[in-house]
Amino acid sequence: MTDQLDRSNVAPGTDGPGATSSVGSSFGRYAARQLLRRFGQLVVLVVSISTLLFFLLRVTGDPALVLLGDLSTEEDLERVRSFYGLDQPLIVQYVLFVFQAIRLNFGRSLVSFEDALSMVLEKMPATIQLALAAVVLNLVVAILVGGWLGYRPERPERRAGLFAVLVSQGVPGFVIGLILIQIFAVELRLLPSIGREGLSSFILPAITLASFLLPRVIRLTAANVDDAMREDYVRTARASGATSTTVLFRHVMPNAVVGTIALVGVQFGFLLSGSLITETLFAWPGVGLQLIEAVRALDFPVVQATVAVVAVLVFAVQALVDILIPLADPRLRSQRA
Amino acid sequence: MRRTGSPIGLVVILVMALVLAACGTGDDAAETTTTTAAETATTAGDTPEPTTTTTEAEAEPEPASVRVGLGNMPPSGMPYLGAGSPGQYVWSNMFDALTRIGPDGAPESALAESWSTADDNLTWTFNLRSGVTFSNGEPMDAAAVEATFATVLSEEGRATYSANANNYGFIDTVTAIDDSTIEIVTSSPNVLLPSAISIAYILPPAYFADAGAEGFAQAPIGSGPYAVSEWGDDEIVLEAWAGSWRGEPQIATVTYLNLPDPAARVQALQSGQIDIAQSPSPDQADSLISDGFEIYSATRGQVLAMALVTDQGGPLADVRVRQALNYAVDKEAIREALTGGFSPTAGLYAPPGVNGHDGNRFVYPYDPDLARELLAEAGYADGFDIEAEMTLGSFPADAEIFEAMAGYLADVGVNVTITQVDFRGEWLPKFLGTDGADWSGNAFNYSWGTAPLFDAIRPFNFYQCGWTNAWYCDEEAMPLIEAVNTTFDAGERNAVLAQLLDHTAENPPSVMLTENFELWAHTGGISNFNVFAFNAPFDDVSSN
Repeated sequence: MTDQLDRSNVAPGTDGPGATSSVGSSFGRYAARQLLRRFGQLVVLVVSISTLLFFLLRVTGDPALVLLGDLSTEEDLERVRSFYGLDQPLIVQYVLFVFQAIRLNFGRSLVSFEDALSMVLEKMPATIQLALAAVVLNLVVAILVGGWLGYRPERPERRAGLFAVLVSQGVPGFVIGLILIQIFAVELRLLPSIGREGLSSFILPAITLASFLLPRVIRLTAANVDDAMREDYVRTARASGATSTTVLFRHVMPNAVVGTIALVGVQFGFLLSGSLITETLFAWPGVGLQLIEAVRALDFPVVQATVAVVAVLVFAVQALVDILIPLADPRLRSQRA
Repeated sequence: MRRTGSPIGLVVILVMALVLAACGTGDDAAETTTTTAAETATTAGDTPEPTTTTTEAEAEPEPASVRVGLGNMPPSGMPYLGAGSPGQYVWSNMFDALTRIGPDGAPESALAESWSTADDNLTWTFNLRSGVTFSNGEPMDAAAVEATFATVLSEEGRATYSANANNYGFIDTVTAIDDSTIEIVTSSPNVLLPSAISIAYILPPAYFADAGAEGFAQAPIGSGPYAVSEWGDDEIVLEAWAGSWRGEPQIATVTYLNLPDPAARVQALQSGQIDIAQSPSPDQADSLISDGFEIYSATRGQVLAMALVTDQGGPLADVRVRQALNYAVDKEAIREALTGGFSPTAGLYAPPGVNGHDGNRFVYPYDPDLARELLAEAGYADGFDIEAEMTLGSFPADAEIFEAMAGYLADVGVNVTITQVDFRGEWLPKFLGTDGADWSGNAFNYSWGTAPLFDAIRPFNFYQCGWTNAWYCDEEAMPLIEAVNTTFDAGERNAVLAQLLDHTAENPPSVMLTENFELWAHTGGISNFNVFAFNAPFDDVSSN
C-alpha cells in the first residue's frame, strides 16, 4: 500500500538536520548566483512564450474581423487594420511588439481600450491573495495530514486515508468547487460563492484552488515522513528514549517539510493554472477570469500582458524557493556553494 | 522528552502564517465585511424575508435593490465599444439614443420625438424632446447630438468604435439646426436609419471632452433613469436617478455581477446572492420553476438556420430540393425537445418582435413523404450528400439541433456531414470572402438574424446576389429587396417586405430551424422584467 505514497521525490533528506554551518557570505554569493541564473532563464522563457503566443494568437483569427462582425466591408477592414497596425507584415508587427514589450508597453485592450498591463496588474492582488491562501492551506493540511498518514502508514485507517487521498487526486477541481457551492452556499447558505467581499468569500475559492494540488502534496509529505522514519538518526533518537512526538516533530518533520515546500514552489505555476477555473467558478476578480475573457474576445494585448506577468510571478516564486530551500537545508548549501 | 514544545511551535507558526495570509487579503476585505452582511440581508433570495431594519408597519417600502448575474460584462462604460448583448443590457438603463427599438421591432421615439425625410431620401430631420438633461446637469440638446456623432463618425471614431458605428456608417453628416433640431444626411438612401441609430447613445459633450474616452469609460454619464455609482470589470452599480425624462424607477440600486460560469450563476440565484440570472441552462428551467423562480424567455430576433450554398449548382440549386429539406425536418419536435419549448417559434423567417412578422405566413410542416416526392421529382430519389461547415456552441443547444436536423434529413436520404469550424479563424473569413476565402462545403450555419435593426430585411442584405461573397442568388428576389430598401413610406415598404417574405418562404434559401432565444431566471419577487432588442431596461421593474 505504500505505493500510494508519492516518491517522485523533490525532497532531499537522507541525513538528519545535523550540520549547523553558519549562513554566511558564501550563501550570499550562492543566492546571488541563483538569482542571476533564474533571471537569465526568465528572460529566455518570457521571450520564447511571447513569441510563440504572438504567432499562435494571430493564426486563430483576424481581430479586425472580430471587431467588425458580419457587416465588414473591405473599407472598414482596412480602416480598422491600419488603426491597430494590423496591416503591417507580421514580422514588422512582431518587431514592434517586442520593442514595445521591452518598455513594458503591451498596448491597449482591443475590447475596452484600457492599458493592457494596467488591467492585468490591477487584477493581480486578487489572484495572488487567493493563490497565497491556497499555498498556506496546502502546507498546513499537507503537513498535518501527511505527517499523520506517513508516520505509521501500515495502519489500516491510514492506508484507507492514503487510498482516499489517491482517489481524490482524480477528482477535477471544478467538481469540488461546484459541490462546495451546492453545500455551503445553496443548501446551508453559510458562505458566499461569488465575488471577493470579506474574509468569508475566501473560504470556498481557497479550498477549491488548494484542492488542485493538495492530494499530491499530502502524498509527498507522507512519503517523506515514511522515508525519514526509517533513517538511522530516527532509530538513534528512539533508542535514546525520545517520545513519538519528539521524534516526529523534532527529527522527522523538518526533513519532510523541505520537500513539501519545494513541491509547492515548483507547482506554483500549476496552482495558478487552477485559478483560471477557480476564478471563473467563483466570479473571483483576478487575472484568471480576465484571461479567459480576453482569450474568448481575441484580445491580444491583454493575453500577452497576462502571460508575461504570470511568467514573472511564477519565476519569482521559484527563485524564492531556490533560495529558501538551502536556508532550511544546509546540505544543499554545502553541495552547491 | 526535553523539547516537546517544538511541534506546537511549528503548528503555531503555520497557523500564524495562515492568519497573516488571510489578513494580507487586503484592507478592503475587512472593510466590506459589514456591507456584505447588510447586502445579503436585503437581497436574500426567493423568500422575501424582512430585513433587520424594517418594521411591521411599513408605510413606505424599503428602496429595493436588485443584483443581476451576467455571463459576460459590457465591454466598457463607453457604449460605442460594442453593440447588442451584453453591453445594451446595462447601457439601456444609463443612456438614450434618438430612437429605440420597440417591442414589435419598429423604431420608437426616444430623445427624438419625431422625424421626417426630405424628398431626396438622404436628408433626415429629427425633432428633439425638450427639457432633457444628463445626470450631471448638462442639457441634452442638438449640440450634444452633433458632438456625439462628430466623435463617433470621425476617421478615428469609425475605427475605434467600429463595432457600433458600422451599423450606421452610411451617415455623412450630423448637424444641429437649432437647439432642438438635428439634420442627418446619409451617403445613400437608407430607410432604416431610425432603427440603426437606436444604439447610438448620446453623450454629455462637456463632460466627455473633459474626461476623454478613457475617463468616460470609467465613470460614464447619460440621460437614462440610472446613474453609475461604480463601474468595474466585475461589478457595476447603478443608482436610480429621479431627474431622467424616463421618470424615476422603483428599484433604487441595480448591481450587475460578472458570473461567467452558468452552473455557478444558477447556484448564486438559488442561494439568494443574486436576484436575476442571465442564461440559465434550459435543462435547469423546470427545477428552478418548481423552486419558485420565474423563467423569462426573450427573443433575439434571429432564427437558427443552415444556409445552402447554391452558386455552385448541384442538387441544392433546385428549389424543389430546398423545399424538400424544409419539409423533411420536424422543427416543432426539435423546439419541444431541444429548447425545452422555450424557443418562441420554429421555421418562421421574421419571428415576433421583428418588423415584418406575420404569424400567418407559411411555415413548412413536417412532411417527410412530400419531401421524398419532391426529391424524386428533382431527380434525387436516392438522396445526396451535404458537407456543412458549422460553428457550434453559439446558441443554446445548437449542436444538438443541427444533429437532430441531420437525423431528419438522413431519413429522406440526404446525408449531412457536419464539420465544426472556428468562427473567427474560418467562418467569418469565408463568409466575407476575405483574402479569397470561400466555403468548401455546400452548407454552413448562418442565423437568419435581424439584430440590431430588428427588421426582416437585414438578412436579405447577405442572402442575395449582390453580397460580397454571395453563396445564394435569387434574381426574382432582387427587385423586391431593392424596393424594400428604397421605399420610405412605412406602409408601402411593409407591403413589399411581406411580398419578399412570402416569395422567400416559397423559395427557401436555407433550412429554417428554431428561433434563437435568451433565457433569464429571476426570483418570484421581481415583476415586469423584460428584455427586447437586447435592452433590459429597469424603468418599470419592481421587487417585493
